[in-house]
Amino acid sequence: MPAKAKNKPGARVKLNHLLLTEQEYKQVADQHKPKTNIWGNCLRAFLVGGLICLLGQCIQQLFMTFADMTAREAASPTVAVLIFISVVLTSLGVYDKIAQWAGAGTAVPVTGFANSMCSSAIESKAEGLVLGVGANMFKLAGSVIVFGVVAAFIVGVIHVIFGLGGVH
Amino acid sequence: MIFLWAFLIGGLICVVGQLMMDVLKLTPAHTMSSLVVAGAVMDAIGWYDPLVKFAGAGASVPITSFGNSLVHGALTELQRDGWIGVITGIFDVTSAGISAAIIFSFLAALVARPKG
Repeated sequence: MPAKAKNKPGARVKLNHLLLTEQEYKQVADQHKPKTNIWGNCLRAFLVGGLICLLGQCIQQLFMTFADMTAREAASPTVAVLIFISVVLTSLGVYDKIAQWAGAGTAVPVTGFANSMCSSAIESKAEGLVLGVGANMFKLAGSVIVFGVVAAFIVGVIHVIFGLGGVH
Repeated sequence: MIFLWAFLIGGLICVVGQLMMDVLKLTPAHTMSSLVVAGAVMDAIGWYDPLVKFAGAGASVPITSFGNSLVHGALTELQRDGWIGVITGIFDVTSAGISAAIIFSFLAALVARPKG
């Protein structure tokens, strides 16, 4: 007899002649969940994340060789190029496919930051340019900026209070 | 040689992120925010610059470098302009990344269609 799912809180779920409380149901459900393969996930994150950084290093080297920049000067244009690549791949729907496979390998590099902004912007396009694209672009990336800025501000204030004067 | 270190260190930072999601069960947003704060703290105690020198893009491409750059901007302008630099300098270094991400994402949203 097939069970009818009714999601009343605390209600007993009838499943193959068994009466289960919500807790028991959760136990059974957890047993049948696919196990996360942590080693595999880490290996894929390592490979893809490392390759993105390697690509960044190559782009930086190009700027240093052909535009006579120092490593520090080349960092900003390198990031901009990576972001451009990420946005193009996101628009084509390719980045999200790689991301499903690579997990944190695509999320942690700066390309993942651009991907989250670009995909939020594209997905909310239907709500209009101002209320959709403009308002939702930082939906995921916003928390990164907020916590980064607050942390940087605290570090700066500590330097002011202890008279370190911004010297590293 | 720096190419090898860029690959290894960049990959390792991504593994740390993956472990935070798999083992600590953090959401991607929590993971990224923690990594940014970690980068900011590492710059504050002077560990991030040596890492960038050693691993190049392996340290400057992951999101931890975003926290590092925010602190860098704040401290550099603090040194130059006094305490107001803490506020005015924060986005100094990261401007390229954030502006590029906003501009390209906006243009992409004009052209691209939502997938799936």
